[in-house]
Amino acid sequence: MTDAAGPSVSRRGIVSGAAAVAAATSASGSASAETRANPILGHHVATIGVPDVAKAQAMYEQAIGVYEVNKGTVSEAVAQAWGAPKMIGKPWVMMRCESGDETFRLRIVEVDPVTGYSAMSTWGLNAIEMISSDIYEVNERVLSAGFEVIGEPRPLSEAYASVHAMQVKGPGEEVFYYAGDVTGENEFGLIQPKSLVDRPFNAVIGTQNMTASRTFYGRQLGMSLGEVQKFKVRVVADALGYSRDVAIEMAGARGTRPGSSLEFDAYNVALSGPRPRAPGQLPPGVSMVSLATDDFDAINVSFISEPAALYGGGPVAAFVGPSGEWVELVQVG
Amino acid sequence: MNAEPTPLLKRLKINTVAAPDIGLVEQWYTEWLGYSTCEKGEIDEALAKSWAAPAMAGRPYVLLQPESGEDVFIRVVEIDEVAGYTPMTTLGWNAFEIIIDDVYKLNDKLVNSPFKIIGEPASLGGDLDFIHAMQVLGPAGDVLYLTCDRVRAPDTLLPPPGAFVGRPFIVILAGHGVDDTQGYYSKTFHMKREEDMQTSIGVVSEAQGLPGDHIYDMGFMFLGQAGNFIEYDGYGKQFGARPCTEGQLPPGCSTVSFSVDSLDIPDLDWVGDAVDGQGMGYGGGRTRTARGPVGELLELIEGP
Repeated sequence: MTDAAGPSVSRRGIVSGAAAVAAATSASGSASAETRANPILGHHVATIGVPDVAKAQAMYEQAIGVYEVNKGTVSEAVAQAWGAPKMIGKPWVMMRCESGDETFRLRIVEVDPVTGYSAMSTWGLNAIEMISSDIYEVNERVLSAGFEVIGEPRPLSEAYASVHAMQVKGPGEEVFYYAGDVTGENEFGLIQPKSLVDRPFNAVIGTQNMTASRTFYGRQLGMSLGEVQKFKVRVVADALGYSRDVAIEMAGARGTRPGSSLEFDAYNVALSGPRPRAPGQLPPGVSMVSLATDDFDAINVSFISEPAALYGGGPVAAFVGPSGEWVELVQVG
Repeated sequence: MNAEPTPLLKRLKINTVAAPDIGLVEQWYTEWLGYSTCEKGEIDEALAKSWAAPAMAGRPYVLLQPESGEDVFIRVVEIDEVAGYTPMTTLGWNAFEIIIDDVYKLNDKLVNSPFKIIGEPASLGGDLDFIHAMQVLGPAGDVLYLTCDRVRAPDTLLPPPGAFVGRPFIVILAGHGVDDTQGYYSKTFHMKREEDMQTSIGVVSEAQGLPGDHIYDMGFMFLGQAGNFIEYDGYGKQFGARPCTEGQLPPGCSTVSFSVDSLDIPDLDWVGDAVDGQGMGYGGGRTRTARGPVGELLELIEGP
């Protein structure tokens, strides 16, 4: 925008047109990101994209005890909200954890196979980390259900020796981490599982730009940021083909619920790239994470489509984050 | 129900600056505008062909991301120097407009920068007095309008900056007058015809050697997603096509990439075939490039 209006200017057209668009698109609020309360509660839905929904459903039921709550096909309105028009008509199933936890659901949706895509090798959402009461039991069950264990159960690190974790790859190249306290003392304050595998407490994003990821989720979503630390992440090292002894930068952003983290793993950009996906579809693997908010209007991001009550409740809208990750915001409560 | 058709161009995805020295552009944008380099590489042959710019194959590029982290990018690609190119004196994409948190604080910073300040911060006045903007010239003849909303009303049309310097949100397109431009985008991409305006545009009249009170026809069109616009400026008939090295992209503010749901848009003057986009800016989507009514290149990318 350039100069002040000249003597013969009529800007009424743009202003009135602007007002109409503003009304239709629920333009963002004026609250300052620095001063407002954190509007993100935590994970609401984790969506994984697989070629065969029924097969994946059976595997997850057998392995981690999730159960179906409803199923259907992707509607035009939902596909539009996701910016993924070729998702229309794709089957999905919504599942709940064995604990019956009502804050979280797992959505399995069909996407076309994507040649060349492999887990943990690209930017964007790479893994969902779920709490477990016994990952060694989970290990037995995922193997018998046909999953590939890409990280066997072991202590997280010397510093986090009381937390044991494992990493598992599913039929759509999606990865789940399962982790839990093994001492009963819960030194690191993990959420308490009410079933063998209970809701996620972390969603892992591979980022090519740590600064951008932290700034975006801190300022635009108002989430609480953790410090950048360095960790060795075996599954990333294995996927990208570098030494397991190399530590990478890692940081987190939190909502207000216990166990509501996004984790940013700084990927070596020379060894990784953006995720390929079928045209007009969600990305394969861990396709999208939905975050629950109790203050939708406080969130200053550019949405794919204007917010709409897609799921029968409050407004829902999706955006693509700094590393190409699909994120859906859902007003709850 | 909304009776208006949804514009097929959904939002800005990549603004491309073509420069003889991409390192200099990268340095200025990262040091003074807070952008970060998120990708470096060479333009592959298929992409260059899709632009009808085969001589771009193998040329280095950098992809810059705003500090806000939004997935909207400025891509800087290497071209040969084009003799006789003067910004804002030719048709096509002439400036990129970026949302700013506080343009006065940015000005305080940029006075010590190598950017040439060609328009000092000022209110737009009138009905838009809450909008304050300045204009600068970058190292490749790239013109940036730097704009902030001093009020940030709940119904503001400007996007949240998200950082001291945010993302591009308007691209400025010059044609001969405004009717052809507006007609084309309205018909081809279902964008709503807004009322034209007449205004002085100091930075343009200065570049064109016209009096400061010269009045231009201009206007805005809304893209499909909030906070994304095309501004169209009407230049006089004495201004023509941009000089360009054969087989390369035009210099300065070179091309604009838009998100679309589908490349299946009729009546476009495609300049090449659809290709699978490679790299962060494409987000895994297919891309194809068309030529617009004043010779501008529009790169369309399937994706959100």
